[in-house]
Amino acid sequence: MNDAASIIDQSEREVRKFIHHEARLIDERRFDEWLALFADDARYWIPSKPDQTDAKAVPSIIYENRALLTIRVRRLMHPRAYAALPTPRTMHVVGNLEIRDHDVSTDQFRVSSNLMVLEHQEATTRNFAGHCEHILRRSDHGFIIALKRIDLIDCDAVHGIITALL
Amino acid sequence: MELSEKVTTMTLDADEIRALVKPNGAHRSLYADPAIFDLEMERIFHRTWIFVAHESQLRKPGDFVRSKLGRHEVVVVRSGDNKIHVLQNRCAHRGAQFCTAKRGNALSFVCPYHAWSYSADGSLQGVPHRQSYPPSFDFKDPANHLFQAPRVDSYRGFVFASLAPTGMPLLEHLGDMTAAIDNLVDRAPDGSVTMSEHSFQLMYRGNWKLHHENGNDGFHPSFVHESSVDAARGAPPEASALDDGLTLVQLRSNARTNQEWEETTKVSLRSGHSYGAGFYRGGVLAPKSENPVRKKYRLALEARHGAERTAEILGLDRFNNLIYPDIILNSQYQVMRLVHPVAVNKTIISSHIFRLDGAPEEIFERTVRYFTNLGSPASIIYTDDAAIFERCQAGFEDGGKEWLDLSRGYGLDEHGPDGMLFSGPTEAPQRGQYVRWLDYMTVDAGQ
Repeated sequence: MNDAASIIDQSEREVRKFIHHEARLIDERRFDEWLALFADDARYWIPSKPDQTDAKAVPSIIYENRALLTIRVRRLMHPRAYAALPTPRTMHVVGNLEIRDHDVSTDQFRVSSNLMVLEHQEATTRNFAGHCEHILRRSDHGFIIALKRIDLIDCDAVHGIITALL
Repeated sequence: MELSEKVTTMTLDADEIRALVKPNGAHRSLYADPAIFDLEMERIFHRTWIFVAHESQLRKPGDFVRSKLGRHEVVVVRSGDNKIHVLQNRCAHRGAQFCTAKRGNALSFVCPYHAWSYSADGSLQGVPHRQSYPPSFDFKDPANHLFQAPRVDSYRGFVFASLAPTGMPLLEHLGDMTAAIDNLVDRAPDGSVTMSEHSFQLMYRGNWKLHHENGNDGFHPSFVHESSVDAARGAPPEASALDDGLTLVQLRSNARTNQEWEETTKVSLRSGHSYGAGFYRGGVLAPKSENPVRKKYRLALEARHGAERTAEILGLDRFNNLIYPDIILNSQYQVMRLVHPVAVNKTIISSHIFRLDGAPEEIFERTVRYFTNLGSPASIIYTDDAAIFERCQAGFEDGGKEWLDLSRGYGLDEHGPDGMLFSGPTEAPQRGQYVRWLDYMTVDAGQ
């Protein structure tokens, strides 16, 4: 194996490990640690339209910076967040993970994956399925997330109450 | 042919229906009994004026949009002679839904099953292999046309349909709530609004009435929205730099003390309509401080209306304009929520936004932001409301105690000339809705 191939191979392993770790933090409800993975200028985006490019003039299911995401998480952890009571359990399954781009100058990766989330709350189990895109940057502490975008396959359909972090 | 009302097997007479509503309470069966739901669909949603579309969706002949009218799937279409028709999405031949596009342009519709085709006015245009039909088959017989709403009317671009061939005219139905639609349209510098194609649909497991009873409930926010209020309280001021602080303002607007809620006003009308007032005192939801965008917008509006009238339009202090039984309109943020009852214990809330024609793009972006925060199925505010609706529904279905209570403020309401005025946290809007509900449910068709 030549050096370049070896570097890509190593990057893939690191990226995969990071994305699995991120998913596990949500399922284990370690939300503060999850938030800490996001860069200061990060976006967490769940579009409401297939192939949506505009988050300003087109509504999104969620379009938040880290500060707003922090409010969302604080609310989710609040003892009287009624939509999230009793406390739901989630299971994230990440598959088909691929590095789509690597910007050498910024050492930034664009990663796509398929995401399935099952959420169980009291008598109800909901499922979410979508194509996921991560933009990851290197920091002193490993990767940080500049963008996490989840394109739900039913993004423009009727939804029940969504409280889960995807 | 006109859409006919479903014959119900329900045998409740007017007195039995009246016995289910007290001046300060309602029987749980109104939320849990499928037979009552059937009767509501027949006597309320299949009789009164229901919003079906906005004229901005139907600018040219052939423009159509799919919509709901009570239980029916309908196609709202502008025909070649410029009239708006509300057609049932069901072929007159063998019943297949003929239209699957959400919107589009077509001056005729062809059923995919055996290719019966219809004009945009609902009349039968053609059937393939005509010679196979007997001479008695009459193309012009309305029985072979699409079913359609007998009454369609619009007010300032808002298109309503009624399945009752006769009854109260639209203007009379809207009553004082025309002011809410006026205020939305008057906010547009070009004098018209465009309904965005983007909407949210949130389904909750609960009766449709729970949504409207919550719309002008002035006392629940302190409790139901405590989690989002607390989360915002801890946030630094720069937290929502993304949206110019708008999200924080909205979250914190629910943080009024009980005394502050007492100082807001609810106006409940005989028609079942209601609205909140006094929400913008102190500029909580409509900041008075001007920035370049707001200034540009204000100047555009003044060019149309003059300074005095502009101040009046922008200063209208009404929140959650509730048009019974199907609409909640917020003109300040150009948001409209529609109630679509699906079953006795299942409701879809369809939320929409409007663009103020001629206003700076940033004004629409503000609307989108407000809408994302409050109308999204993942809203950290609205999902707590919906969760409470589901809990109420579970309670009503559980039986045991037969009545729910609406006594707050009962007997203490101040009566005004056109409605009742009272302090915020009373249950007068909910009582008012039941007065109207009884009217609808106990009056025979056609009256």
